[in-house]
Amino acid sequence: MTDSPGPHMHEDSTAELGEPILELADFTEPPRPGFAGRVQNSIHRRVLASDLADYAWFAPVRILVEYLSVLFELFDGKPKQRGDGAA
Amino acid sequence: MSVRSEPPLPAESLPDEELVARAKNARPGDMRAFTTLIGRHQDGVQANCRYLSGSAADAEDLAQEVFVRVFFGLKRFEGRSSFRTWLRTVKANHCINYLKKRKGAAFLDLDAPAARASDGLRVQPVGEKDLTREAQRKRIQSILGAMPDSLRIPLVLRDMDGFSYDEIAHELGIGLSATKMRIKRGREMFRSLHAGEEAGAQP
Repeated sequence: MTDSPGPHMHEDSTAELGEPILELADFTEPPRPGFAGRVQNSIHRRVLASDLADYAWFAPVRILVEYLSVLFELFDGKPKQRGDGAA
Repeated sequence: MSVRSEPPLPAESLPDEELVARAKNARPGDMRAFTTLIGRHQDGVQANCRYLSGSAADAEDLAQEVFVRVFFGLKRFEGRSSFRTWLRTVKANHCINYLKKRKGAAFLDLDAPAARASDGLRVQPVGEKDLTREAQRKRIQSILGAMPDSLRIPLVLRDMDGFSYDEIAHELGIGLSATKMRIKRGREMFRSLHAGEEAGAQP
């Protein structure tokens, strides 16, 4: 969601239909203790889940890369070793 | 990225925009600026979620989710509107989506039984002539609780949140004239219930 004012965001110029309910303008609920902590915990859990999901995707890719590099070294490395030995 | 809990910054000293900038540029896990923003806006968001959803039980979960979405959306917030306006839009979208999922489009149906029966609703009188702030809050709670979704939601979006008629029509997916009519009827009903309560509270 962006904060750009879309076409529907322009201030409406039409007149009010009836007086606004002034009591609602600043109406709030008393704060519940620990609310900010619960929001932080929720954010923490999602960050952790996101990290785990990234890792779950990254780990198999990393294993594959390592496996291919081992294979590459096996086939590509032998002549080098022979060359090294000849020298 | 890990999240650490640290003490909030002093809330009074910094405007929202400065806190948003600090929250965006904070080190991973430094939640202090965002926690200050939560503390500053949680009362209004929670009240709004309660009366948009019509459920006191769900209000806190909804408010919590609104702040979580705001946190993950901060990177995309460009400051073209105020933080309060952006927060208001996130909150309204989330609560209305919640209602749509939970009730389908029925919550906007003026012919629903709750809306038709609403003319006869009366709220419990408080029984005090000089209302304290707390009693006034409870009175408003009970009046809003007695209103049907189809009238309460547009009224809350207009008179509590300050959305324009156009914005409300867009959010609810109904026509502009229907929006105006619902807000007008919602105000009439609110005043009628309020007057009924005051009459009931007279000795």
